[in-house]
Amino acid sequence: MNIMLDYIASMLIFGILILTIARVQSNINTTLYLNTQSIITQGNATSLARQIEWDFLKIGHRVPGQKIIYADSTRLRFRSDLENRHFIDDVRYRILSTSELSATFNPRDFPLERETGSGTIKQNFGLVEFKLHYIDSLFRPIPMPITTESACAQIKGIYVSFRVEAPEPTVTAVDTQWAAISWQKLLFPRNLNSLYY
Amino acid sequence: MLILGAFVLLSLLALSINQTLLSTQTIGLEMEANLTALSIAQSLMDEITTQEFDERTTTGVKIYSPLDMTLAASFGPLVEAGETPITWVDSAYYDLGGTTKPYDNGGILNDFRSKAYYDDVDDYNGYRRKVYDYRMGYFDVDVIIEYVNETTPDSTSTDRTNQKRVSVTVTQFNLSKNQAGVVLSVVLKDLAVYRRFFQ
Repeated sequence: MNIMLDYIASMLIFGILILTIARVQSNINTTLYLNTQSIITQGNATSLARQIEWDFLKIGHRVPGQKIIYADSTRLRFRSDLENRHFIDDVRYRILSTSELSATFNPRDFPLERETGSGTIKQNFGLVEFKLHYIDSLFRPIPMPITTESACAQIKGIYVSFRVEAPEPTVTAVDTQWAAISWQKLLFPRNLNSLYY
Repeated sequence: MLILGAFVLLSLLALSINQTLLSTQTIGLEMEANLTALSIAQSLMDEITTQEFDERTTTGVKIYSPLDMTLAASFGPLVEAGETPITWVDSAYYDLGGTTKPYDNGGILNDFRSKAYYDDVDDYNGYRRKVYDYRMGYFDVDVIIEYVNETTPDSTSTDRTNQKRVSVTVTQFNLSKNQAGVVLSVVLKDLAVYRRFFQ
């Protein structure tokens, strides 16, 4: 009888031990995975932010006439000597539909298309939200879409906000998480403004 | 007895590992909060430095001596100049027929009042706003404007000069913390320099 009790007790202890170790291992795996996804997402967000700052702040650089050609909440077309090589690029930004990015597990992400004189690229930053607003010299929002030359000339600032999510989810014991990061900035392209100092 | 000891050791090990994992996740979130705080601070900094340098120059008048500029004690919106002081914590929201949300709910954007009420750099002295972020919640933003010495811009000046230092401080409980657990605010500083009289 004592031997049987010893067997049962040892099996019970072994079971608890295995469950504890499994849980710790599961937590480690989840955290490592979430961290990896988080780093990827933060890297994507930083790259996109740098690209937007690089491009948008140069709107109108060395352009004698109309600087912005079309603008709405998800699309922007402008002219600029982006590379500072005395060649004016016709730059277009627009978002595509989620079906264009069906390869990822994230059902909400969509690609961003950037077109310059060098060609068109479809960029996968894991965008799930991308919005543009435009303000005039008195910080008043300009109704969109902005299509006419006179309306485009009123644009002095561009408010950009986006949210980037990881391409794959992290499934934890509690729920499913998507690593994400949001970014927002009000940009004042120098060539659209007559700065006083 | 040995088994009990082994279990205690195992439990301690599990706790320690879980604590390490938790702090790793916390650092990740703090990094995310820092990035968001920086973008919020930079947005406001750009808004401020795009404004006129001084109330006296908003009408296009050139100032040739700093003595003609606003006194440091008078920084902030001037009621007598027709400016509306923002005495509350400013915030932006979307209005959808009576339902207001801090995020885009398809309604009309009611932007920060500072953009409509303020027209020069020092109007923003003492200005406070709350900025909503989808993942982190609200960020508190504070602004201080000071005159600084032209040769040593790190030190403030009680006299009027051609340089105003703009300090934007962003605070949020998810930001990085020091050893004592106190939140380390993100502080962004830049100089607004008046050089129009050279033109």
